[in-house]
This record gives sequence, C-alpha cells and structure tokens, in this order.
Amino acid sequence: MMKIILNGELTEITEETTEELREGWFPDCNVVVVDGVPVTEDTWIEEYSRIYIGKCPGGLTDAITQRGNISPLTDKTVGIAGAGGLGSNITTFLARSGVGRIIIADYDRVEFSNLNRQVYNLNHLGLFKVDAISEVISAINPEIEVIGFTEKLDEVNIPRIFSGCDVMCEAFDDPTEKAMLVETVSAMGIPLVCGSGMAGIGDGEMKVRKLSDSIYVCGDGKSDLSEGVLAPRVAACAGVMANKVLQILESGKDR
Amino acid sequence: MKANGEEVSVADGTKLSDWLISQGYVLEKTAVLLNGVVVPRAKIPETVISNTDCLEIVSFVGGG
Repeated sequence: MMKIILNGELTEITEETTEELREGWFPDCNVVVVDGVPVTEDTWIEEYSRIYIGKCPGGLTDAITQRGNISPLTDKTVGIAGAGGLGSNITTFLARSGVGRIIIADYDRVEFSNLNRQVYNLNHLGLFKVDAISEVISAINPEIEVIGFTEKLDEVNIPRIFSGCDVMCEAFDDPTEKAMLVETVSAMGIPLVCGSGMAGIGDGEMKVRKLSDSIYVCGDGKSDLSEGVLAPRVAACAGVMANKVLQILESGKDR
Repeated sequence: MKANGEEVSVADGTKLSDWLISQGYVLEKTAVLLNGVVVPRAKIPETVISNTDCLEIVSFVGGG
C-alpha cells in the first residue's frame, strides 16, 4: 500500500505502476500525468506522487485546445522575434491554441524587471528567456515544439532562423528594431504581425492596422516606454497579435 | 497622393525621405510601404514619390 494524490484526492493504492493504476481505477481513460508530466510508458509510482488520469480521445493537444477538428494547427510553425513581454505572452497564447511549432529568438536572460509583464516566474531568474519559455510551454503542453535561438536578431540571421515559418510576430521593444524586422521579413515573403503601443495604464484601444495583405500592426499606436510597460496592456496587445496569427493560419493565406 | 488614407499633394520629384522628415517621422523608427511594397530604409533617400502614389507609414513606438 502507498499513498498518492490521485485526481486531487489523497488515495491509498496497491498498484505499483502507472499502467496498473490506470487499468485498475480509470480503464476508459488514456492519459496519465505524473507530477505535471504526461507519461507515455508504464512507470513505477513513487509515494505521494500527484497523479492525474484523464480521458483525451483525440490526444493531449486536442484535449487542451478544445478545438476538435476545426483547426488543425499542429502542423503550423510560427516565428517569434523576441521573448519579452509580447513574445512570452504570444507564445503562451499560441501554444494553448495548438500551434504545433514555435521558433523563438532572444539573447536576454530573465531578470527581476521582467516579472512585471512577462510570463516568467522567480524560478526562471538567470535563465536565457528562450530556455525559460520552453519550460513554460512544456509545462502547458509538451506536445508543442519550441525551438529557441539565443541570438541577437539582425538582417543576416533572421532569414536563417525563421525561413520555415508560416507566420512571424515582431515582439521587440526597440522601435528601430521593429522597423528593421518589417523590412527583413517582408523580403522573405512571410506574413508578419507587429506590435506598437501597449505601454502605461491608459484606455487607448488595441487596434489592428492592416498595412498590406501580409503585414499587420497591433496596439494603440501611441503609448511608449516613457509610460512604463505593465502586464495588462502588454498581454492585451499580445492577445490581439496572437489572434491575428490564428486568423492568418486558419484563412490558409500562409505559405 | 494618399498617405495613411489621406489625400495629400506633393511636388514632382519629391524625395520620400525629405517628405517623411517634413512630416515629423524619424526614419529609423519608421516602416514605409509604397504602393503596397515595403521600402527598405537604405532606399528611402533615393526614392522619389509623386501624386499617383499610395503610402502606408508606421512610426513605431517602444515597448514590448
């Protein structure tokens, strides 16, 4: 006999492996998550493990996204230039929506000053942001592939890193780099969604401005760094951007 | 010509860079589409605009 937390309840069990446990307690279920990690092979159970056994007929991603067969995004790739306030939130939103692969680049490490608006937590301090975001996404859905590049992006490495993407997001904070990305990505022929104006705590509306058939700019267009950048409006702008990405992917206008 | 949806008039031979600066744009923070195509920033000084053109201009602000 040992004690585990089974689907939220402290439970005494005689089973010793995850497969025995599933078969004995929830035979119609097919996914076993042990201490936050879905296990695909029969695994020895340790005392006081937190185990959740659930039914995901269409697989884990299908159970998480709740989209059914409406939108097969699992074969799509989205590129994110920057893993700060916009990039970390956009990545999280797209992963929850079931976008199968995310390529993300940033050369920075997580610091205290990031925690006011980026999805990272104290456990991520000192990590490269691309490694921290991989960890965050893996904890949400390990079936989503995150490919990180710890590089400062420029005109030369952007085409190399992001060439296979269906859509790209601009998630820099520096306006000069934002303009550079528009120039570089437009030459690659990949649809681009940019962010401009999400600072402060004002009421400026988060809009989508269509610049061409393949370039969009989201945000209030005005508020800038001098107002400070806080979580609510950054997440709002990231949400508008991620939503535009889903529209582009699902309209089939991507390559 | 049209600039961000508004009708404006420019003299023949006007340089894109001169017009943008006269309108208060800071070139390195600005993305410009001329008739739907992004003008690389290095090409902005040599690009000439006329009254038949259509410009979409974004002046990026910091934050992200």
